[in-house]
Amino acid sequence: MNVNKRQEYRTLFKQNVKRRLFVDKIVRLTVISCVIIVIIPLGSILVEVFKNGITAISIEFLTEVPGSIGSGEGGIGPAIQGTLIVIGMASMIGVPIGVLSGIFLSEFGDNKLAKSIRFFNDVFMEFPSILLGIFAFLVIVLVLGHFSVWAGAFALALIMFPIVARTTEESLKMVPVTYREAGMALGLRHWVVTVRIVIAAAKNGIVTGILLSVARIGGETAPLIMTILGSSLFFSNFDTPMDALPLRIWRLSLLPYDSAQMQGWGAALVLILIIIGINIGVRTLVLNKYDTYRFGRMIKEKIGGRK
Amino acid sequence: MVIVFGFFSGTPFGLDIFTASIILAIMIIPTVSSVAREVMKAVPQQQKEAAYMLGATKWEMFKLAIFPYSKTGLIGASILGLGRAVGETMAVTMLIGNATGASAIPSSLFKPSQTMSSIIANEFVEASPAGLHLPALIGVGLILLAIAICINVVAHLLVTRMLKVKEGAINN
Repeated sequence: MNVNKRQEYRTLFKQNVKRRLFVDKIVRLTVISCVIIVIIPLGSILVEVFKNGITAISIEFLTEVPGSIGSGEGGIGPAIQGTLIVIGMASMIGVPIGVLSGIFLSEFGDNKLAKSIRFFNDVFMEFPSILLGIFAFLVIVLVLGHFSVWAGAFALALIMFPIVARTTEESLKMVPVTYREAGMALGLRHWVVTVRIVIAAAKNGIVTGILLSVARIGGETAPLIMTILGSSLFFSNFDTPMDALPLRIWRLSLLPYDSAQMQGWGAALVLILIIIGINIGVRTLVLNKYDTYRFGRMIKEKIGGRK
Repeated sequence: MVIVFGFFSGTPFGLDIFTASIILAIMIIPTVSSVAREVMKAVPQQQKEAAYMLGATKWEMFKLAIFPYSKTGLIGASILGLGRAVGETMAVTMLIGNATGASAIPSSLFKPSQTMSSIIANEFVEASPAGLHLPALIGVGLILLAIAICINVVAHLLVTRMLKVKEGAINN
């Protein structure tokens, strides 16, 4: 190979590398700009809600029953109360079922039955929520003959438990097998190992999953339309219709009055604050900072050690 | 060309298919991107390193190693997003315009329309259980259920097959 040819190859190679690096840079810019396009609407939702909602909020707005339509008076007291009650009741039904089925899938889930349950759980998790509302309507409202809080809590619990089951299973699987084996080596029975060792180690993941599902059902409107219906009065008993924040936001946003729409923005802000509040409150009460740190390090070590 | 112009005919009013589609697109992005991320993370590290070793740039590594490996899972992620969009109720109900009768079959993107879930949400409370109205709405729900089951089963089969490859691969 003479010198000229070598020179020629070298320039060709340089051009080729330059072109490939250029393409790489263009792709990287495209990807980053896509991310920015995605983030803009998410950020602007929060900004809009805060900007419009903060003017509506006052003590009366938070505590009073709704005034006459279009007057701009009254508040969303019953809606706040109703949301808290229905979230609490749905959690009471959905969390135990979800956590226990998550334990089954993770600890006893090495067979065909568990595999098919896992699959249908995944499919169920993505179901349109309005169908679960119709189901609760058929099973509870039509049978009892009136709209009730029970039906709403039942519908929301149906949305909740697949999410809780899935996240519980995932976080139990993160606990190293050596922990279980250590328990077994001490002669503990399977359920003792599960309850005292595995669940204790995976507590943070389970709580995070529960909070995730609470955030999801807190904003659900569709199943509530056909189960708890909405009302303007404070809660009296579980067999009557009740108000909830998502329902109230929907009704207010459909009204043609400016004052009603401002109240809708205010209610949306209150809903966001309630969900954030539940999240922060439960996290500080239940989770131990040292535990979080230790668990995170443990997982890191496990992953690091495997590679 | 006539067909293309037909899609965009009429005056945009705000409450139409176009607005509802944009909002749905924003709403399914988190679903699609998180599943897609999971699927791409399941590509064995060795494949990526082999591509880098051949002198590939990041984009060429994606083309050579990640994309062919995770194609099925990415399709599954998109279908999962479609499943989300089919069932989404309230945002669509507020934006689609809720046309009834013959005008619910739209002639352009800028015309109000109706989806299965929005018609259920709008008319369910007013429907009387004695007549045919309520059974008809529940029938709409049955069709929605069938579509949702089909979409989600297909999507999950694709995604789980992809993730199972990860377990069997020589990653560990």
